[in-house]
Amino acid sequence: MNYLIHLLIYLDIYVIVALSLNLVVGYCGMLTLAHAGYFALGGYVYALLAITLGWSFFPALLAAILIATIVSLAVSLPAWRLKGDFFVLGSLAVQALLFSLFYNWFDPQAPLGSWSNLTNGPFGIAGIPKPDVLGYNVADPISFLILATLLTVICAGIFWRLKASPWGRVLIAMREDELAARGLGKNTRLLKVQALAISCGLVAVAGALYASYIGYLDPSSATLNESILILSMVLVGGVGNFRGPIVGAIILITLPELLRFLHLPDAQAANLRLACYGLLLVLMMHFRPQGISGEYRLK
Amino acid sequence: MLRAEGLKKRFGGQVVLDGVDLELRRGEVVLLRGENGSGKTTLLNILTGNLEPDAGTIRYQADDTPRTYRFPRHWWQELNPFDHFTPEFVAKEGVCRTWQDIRLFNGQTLRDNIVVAEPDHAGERPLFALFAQGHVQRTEQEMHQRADAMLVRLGLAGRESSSADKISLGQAKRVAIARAVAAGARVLFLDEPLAGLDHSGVTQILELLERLVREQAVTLVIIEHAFNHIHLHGLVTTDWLLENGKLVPNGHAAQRTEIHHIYPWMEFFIDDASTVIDEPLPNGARLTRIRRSDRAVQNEEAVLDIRHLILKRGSRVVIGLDDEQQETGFNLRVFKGEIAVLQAPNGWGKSSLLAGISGLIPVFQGDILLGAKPINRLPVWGRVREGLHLIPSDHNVFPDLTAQEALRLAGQQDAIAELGILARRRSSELSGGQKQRLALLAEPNWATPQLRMFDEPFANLDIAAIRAAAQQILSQTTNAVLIALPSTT
Repeated sequence: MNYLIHLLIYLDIYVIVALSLNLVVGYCGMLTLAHAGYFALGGYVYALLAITLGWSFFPALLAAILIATIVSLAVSLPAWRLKGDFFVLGSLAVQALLFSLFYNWFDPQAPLGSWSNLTNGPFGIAGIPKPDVLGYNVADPISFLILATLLTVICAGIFWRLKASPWGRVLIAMREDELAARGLGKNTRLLKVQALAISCGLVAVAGALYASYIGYLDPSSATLNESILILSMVLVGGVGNFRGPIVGAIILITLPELLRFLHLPDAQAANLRLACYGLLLVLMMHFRPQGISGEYRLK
Repeated sequence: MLRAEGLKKRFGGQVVLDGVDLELRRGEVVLLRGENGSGKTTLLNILTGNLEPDAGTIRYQADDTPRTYRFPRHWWQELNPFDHFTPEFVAKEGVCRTWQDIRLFNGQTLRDNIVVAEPDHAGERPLFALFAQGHVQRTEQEMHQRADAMLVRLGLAGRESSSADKISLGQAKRVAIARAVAAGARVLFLDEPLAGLDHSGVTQILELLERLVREQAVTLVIIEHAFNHIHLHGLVTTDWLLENGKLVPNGHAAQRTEIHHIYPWMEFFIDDASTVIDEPLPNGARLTRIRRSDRAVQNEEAVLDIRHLILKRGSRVVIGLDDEQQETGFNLRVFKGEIAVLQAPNGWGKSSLLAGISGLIPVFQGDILLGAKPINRLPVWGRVREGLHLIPSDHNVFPDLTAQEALRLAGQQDAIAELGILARRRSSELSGGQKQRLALLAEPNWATPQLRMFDEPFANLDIAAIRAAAQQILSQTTNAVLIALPSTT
């Protein structure tokens, strides 16, 4: 039973991640590789505020959202000029920058949370407290599942409302033809800043949930591999609509769990999982480039 | 509405605009003329904020708050986010444009294509979209009603929810104009609004433009292909001629007269002893076989033989329907020595047919024989080696190669001299007409082809260039030629 609850919590977290990335990839047509960096950023901000300042869950979560939103400018400002492959490379640079910040902002002599040791570097931050909501400590798995599902429903609701709004419509217009949209008076620079800010804010929610659930966070959450895993969810499930990323998150979260039943040694299982992701992506790109239930085919 | 003084622009060493002065008044309809490469599109791009001039002043005064841009701009002006010279800022001044390649938002419905253009929609701010849904929905309803009414006026009633990529060329051009008007255009620049349209398409666009001028006093600036100038005769109030980088108001009287006495392009292919045979094809298309005396052959020998061909795009049959819309398959034969001109209405499937013959899209059913040899199963390059050449209407040049590199690649070194100074420019920097000219010159020259196919080879060309292109097509050694063009009657 606990295993199933654990799986559902993971699913909640990655549904938020995939939906948030879909806003950028599916609705703006911009393929970013920096999303794992913002996921980890949300987790780090939450962890630091909860451990060092003793903030409760929601204030720390709001701070994580705010900081991720501000730091999203690192991707959205270059997006004013960088298009297509160059934007992908720009986002890769931001990903590398965030990872190296998490990895290197560390001094073994200084206490965690001080200016010279903000992330504890490769050792990561342990002992991240479980969420404390209105005085109630969400420690047991079922309570955490309820909290995670509640936040997922809120994030999905925000995504749903935005994608169905005139704002979502302008994003699609920008994705279809940016120059034509600009010619109609649409400020596409502002749109990119808004979309990336909202997307990074949402993924910070997932990062904070993840950090509080696992209780430990290290820079491996911000690696390129993680970004590619997140991107795979969106691409396999399909972009440009609501259900695609959810389908992708379900497939890519349950697939490694199914491999467990093959009883392979851990080292082989990890490699096999990566090989499965790779094969799945290649097959999808060849036979169904718009994803399993996507609406938009990434150019 | 708009005034520009001393506009200058040069690309590399070539001066394109050399001190252009102009003024546009409310309700004025301007025809901007000029030879291929004279800078018409450059001027349009500058006035709509898509390109910065090297020097000059532009003053937009379509509304109560005029705005002036002086060039060259200083670097610190770029730091001010409210003072950029970009298409979106110019559009907010009431100056919009349409594009030669239309550029509708294909992933959206027709209604959304028009509604999305409406300016200052509160729902386009994320916070309003999230927390003021009632207000946003009310505004949306009003905009939907306006868009639906506009679609009715465009003759597209009942198509509000159709995807923008499912309508004909003429309908798409009308929606693009309506979209610009919905964006608040008081001055509208139209880049070849009649290009590629059949007769009814031209009539419908002209009716729409007349209505815009009459009812809303929209100022129009039209760049149009020389052949279509005659259609604009009753609409145009001012004639601008762009010549040697300068704008000559009122143009040249002699040239204006010539406009109305253009021979149809087909005349360029016919000599005194030519035989011309007209054959009807399904769904309003027509095949004209021109058999010139200098290409006469003894026996009728089919170079291209298409039998019961059915081509599909997705699940939709694009070629192979008869007049009763039954899937009977399409038949066509082109004989040795012929110049076959296929004229068909927009949306008939001309480009799809040429793509199917050359192997760019798969054949669903039927046979294609080239010189009696079946080529259905050959890949594109295999068909080229068998002597089948296609010059497409777009994407016909390699944008990153210079013109002389493209010519060398095609084995046409001798043609480099013909292009003069243009030979050293990259293909992407050439004007529309220059690109088409290059495409015709850079046809592969490594074997005598059996059949040369041209998809709208005269689009973007002025009269002199069309005559030259026709001569170019006639001078090439080939067994037969197939030219696809939009219907003109």
